[in-house]
Amino acid sequence: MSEERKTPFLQLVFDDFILLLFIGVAVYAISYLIWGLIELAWLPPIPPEIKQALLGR
Amino acid sequence: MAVAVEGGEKWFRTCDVTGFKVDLRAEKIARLNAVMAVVSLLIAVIAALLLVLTRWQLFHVLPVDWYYRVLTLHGLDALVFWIIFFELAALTFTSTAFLNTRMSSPFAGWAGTVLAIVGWLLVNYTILTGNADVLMTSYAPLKAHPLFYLGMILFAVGALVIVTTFFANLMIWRRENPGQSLPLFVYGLMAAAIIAVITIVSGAIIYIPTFLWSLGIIKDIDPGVYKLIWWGLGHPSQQINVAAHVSVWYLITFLATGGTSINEKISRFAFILYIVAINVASAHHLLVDPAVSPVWKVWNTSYVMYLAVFASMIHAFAVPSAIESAQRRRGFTKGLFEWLKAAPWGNPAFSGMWLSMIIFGFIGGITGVVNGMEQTNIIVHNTLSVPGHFKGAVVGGTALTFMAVTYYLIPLLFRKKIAFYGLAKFVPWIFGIGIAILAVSMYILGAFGVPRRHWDITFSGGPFTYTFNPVTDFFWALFGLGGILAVIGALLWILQVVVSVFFGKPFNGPQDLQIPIAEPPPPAKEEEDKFAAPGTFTLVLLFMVAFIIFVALNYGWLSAMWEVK
Repeated sequence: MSEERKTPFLQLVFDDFILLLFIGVAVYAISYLIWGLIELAWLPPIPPEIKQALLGR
Repeated sequence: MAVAVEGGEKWFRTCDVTGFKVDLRAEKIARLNAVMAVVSLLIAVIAALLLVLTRWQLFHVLPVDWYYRVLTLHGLDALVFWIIFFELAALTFTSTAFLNTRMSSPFAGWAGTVLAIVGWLLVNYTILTGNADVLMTSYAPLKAHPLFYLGMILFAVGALVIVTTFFANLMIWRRENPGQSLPLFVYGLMAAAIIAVITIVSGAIIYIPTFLWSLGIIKDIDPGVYKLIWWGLGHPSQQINVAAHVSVWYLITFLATGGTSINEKISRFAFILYIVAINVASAHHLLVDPAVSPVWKVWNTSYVMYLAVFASMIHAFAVPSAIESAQRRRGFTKGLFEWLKAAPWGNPAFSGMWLSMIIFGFIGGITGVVNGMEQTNIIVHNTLSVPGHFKGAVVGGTALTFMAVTYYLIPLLFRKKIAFYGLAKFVPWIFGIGIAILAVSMYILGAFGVPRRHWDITFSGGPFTYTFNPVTDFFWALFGLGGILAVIGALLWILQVVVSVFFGKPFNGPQDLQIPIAEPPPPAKEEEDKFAAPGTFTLVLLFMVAFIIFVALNYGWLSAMWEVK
């Protein structure tokens, strides 16, 4: 039997901190940040008369 | 493993207790960051005392402007500076000493530290001079002096530089040790460092335009956008803590009992769940904001966030089971809990860690899930329950863990004997019990509708006044008692650390070790492999029952909120 053992795939993933950094940043960026910003960007602007009434000027 | 480095062995010492090769350049950087952490904690604790004695209306010591100033000071020094400086020290020290490798760039380490300290100085200065009464969140359109934002940016950049050196250190280690996995403790800190990158980048994305806005270069900052991105900094900064303090739990378990995780793969998987899922939990800060959709809110909190909650529950089983397994192998096998009774309670690092696990789980964790659910969040929104939750999670969890592990760092990092060691046995209890009382009383006061961040909840002198249920007087007294007890505990700890580090007797080797380091337990017998931790399993069931009862109660209260009479 060969002395060399192949490293299991999951261990390769678990040990690759650069890959984990990429996954962590990507999930946060897509799920929270970009999606949230898109939702804010799609908000219709506040009608000027309501804005004026709220600000009192 | 030999350490190949320019300058040869002169940069290293071999620790006579652990056998680790310690890079002296990394050690100095870690020491300075640790000192800055303690200075920040001292400021935070003095501020905390003033805040407790102001919110408790019996005393109400601070005038209104100073209340908000001191609240800003407390928030930033406690939640950001104390903890992040401590983590920077931990990242620098562990990625070199624990891995027997060298500091990748001492220059970058020093540059990052100096930037962070300059940032810290600017932020504290602007707050204390009344130029940044904007609270920790500094929500736009509240505007502080530009130096405040510049200070936050410098601190963030400094921290990012040190986090980058941490990853560079890991790369050196990987090159020298191909095919090996990081030790579990360092692996957890790696997770913390990844979360830190996300956190700091979010901070930069929002603080840089806010800084330009404070200078008048940018006309407007959208409050909705500010809040969304700021919470990408605000909440994940506390998630760095969770990953870091859980890592320290594994370390203390190993040092104090010789215990290691009974399934390292599962523990590592739980850290990966933190990396993937914990940061989106920031969304729960926007649960009552109308601008983002319910789909966004529910996906990020009630779905993805639970993966992180699941991870914490894995650690909540893994750490006590590591202790139980080690204790049982030593022969403490009687009944369900002999292993716990025979645990090293006289070791302040162990008692502090155990208390922090209980407070973090039963107070910080359970209340955190309730706060994080869209349905029940409305009960606690903007009430004193919210800081009650993070007193349990961050102060009882992270701060107490860091205080506990410091009893090992004083001899091993600072090479000093622990001053007043007899006192150390009591400090975690005084602080832990104080924080537990404070957190629970704040949570209950919040349930009675007491708002957070409010100078005068009676609105005295105003056109509308409000009288809370008289039972709140009792909980205000508990709040005061818990707060003062916690302040006493923290001050005693700071006194011990300062006297030990600056005026203490030198630590000359294992013979001077006051705090014990456990021998590895004997290997497990075959029949014990079947069910290694029945006591821990019972404790976890108890936790689950408490969890279910608390969630059910909150849904009951939620239904009562909408009752029409």
